[in-house]
Amino acid sequence: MFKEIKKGDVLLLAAFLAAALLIALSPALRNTLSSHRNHKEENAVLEIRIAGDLYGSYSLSEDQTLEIHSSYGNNTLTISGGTAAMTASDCKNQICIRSGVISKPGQMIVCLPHRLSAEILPPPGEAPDSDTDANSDAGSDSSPYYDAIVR
Amino acid sequence: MKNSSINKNPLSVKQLTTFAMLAALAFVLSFLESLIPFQPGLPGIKLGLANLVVVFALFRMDTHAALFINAVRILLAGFLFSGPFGTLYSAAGAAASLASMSLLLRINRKRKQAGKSDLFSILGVSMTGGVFHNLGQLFIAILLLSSLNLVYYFPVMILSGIITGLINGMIAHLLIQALPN
Repeated sequence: MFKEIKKGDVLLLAAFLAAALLIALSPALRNTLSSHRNHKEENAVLEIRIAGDLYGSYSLSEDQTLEIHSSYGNNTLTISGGTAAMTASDCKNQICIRSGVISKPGQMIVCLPHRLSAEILPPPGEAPDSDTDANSDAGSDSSPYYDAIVR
Repeated sequence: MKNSSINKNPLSVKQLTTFAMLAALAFVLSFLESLIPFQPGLPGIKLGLANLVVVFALFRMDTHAALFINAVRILLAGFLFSGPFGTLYSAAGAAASLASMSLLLRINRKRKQAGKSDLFSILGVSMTGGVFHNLGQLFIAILLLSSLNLVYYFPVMILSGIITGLINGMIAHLLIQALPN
């Protein structure tokens, strides 16, 4: 049966998969682009919680190093250039260090042994749900996504 | 022996019985499928076993035969099981699926006239049919629910269409080889 497979079949399969991938990636792609925009505007907020309680909110636009001490342990979080990363932690597994640099709204770094979470909140006045702007995105030349591509 | 042209001439008894038998078979498969509890996410999305008969008819007979069988199946199943909205879903899916498949077959036929080999096999045709069946249904769903966010469901629909279409294509291929004309 598999001898039957023709060149056109493979092309079709590739085309369908590419289309599926493209559509699947388009929201992620848009988030990436809009996060670059946030880079520019740099008004996103990093919210740090320990055991669910708010520890503090920090603007991503201010470069700073935060020493976070709690009864669970000590962490060092570095904010620079609109991104945040856990740079030191005396926890056992060091997963928070390995989770790397975050910059987009909705991303978070978690240090489970210290019950610490640091999440980037969307800038005020912007819908947190990326699905909601699917209707309004007409893709005109003046759209911020276009600006982000051009830059 | 394939593609015996039937639409120009009056139907022979054999053709008529084949039509009726395949329509009945497609209908029964539709019914069987409504018994299988396989309902992921959106309404109207199924394995598409009945499309097996349509693919078979498309390759053994022609587009008109496939259209006729599909129409009979959808109307019967619509009246008996799926209700007006279910019928709308299946009709949209079937129309998109049949249109895409007969387009591919037309390309094959054109190439044959030009002395080239087929570009698409039954697997590719059936796969395309499966994908477009789902896309047609999702298109109707977007219209009915007037929610463009369903666009993000397209990848799922494309993948499931590829899989079910390929399965149907394999079975249809085996059937066509096994059944005498």
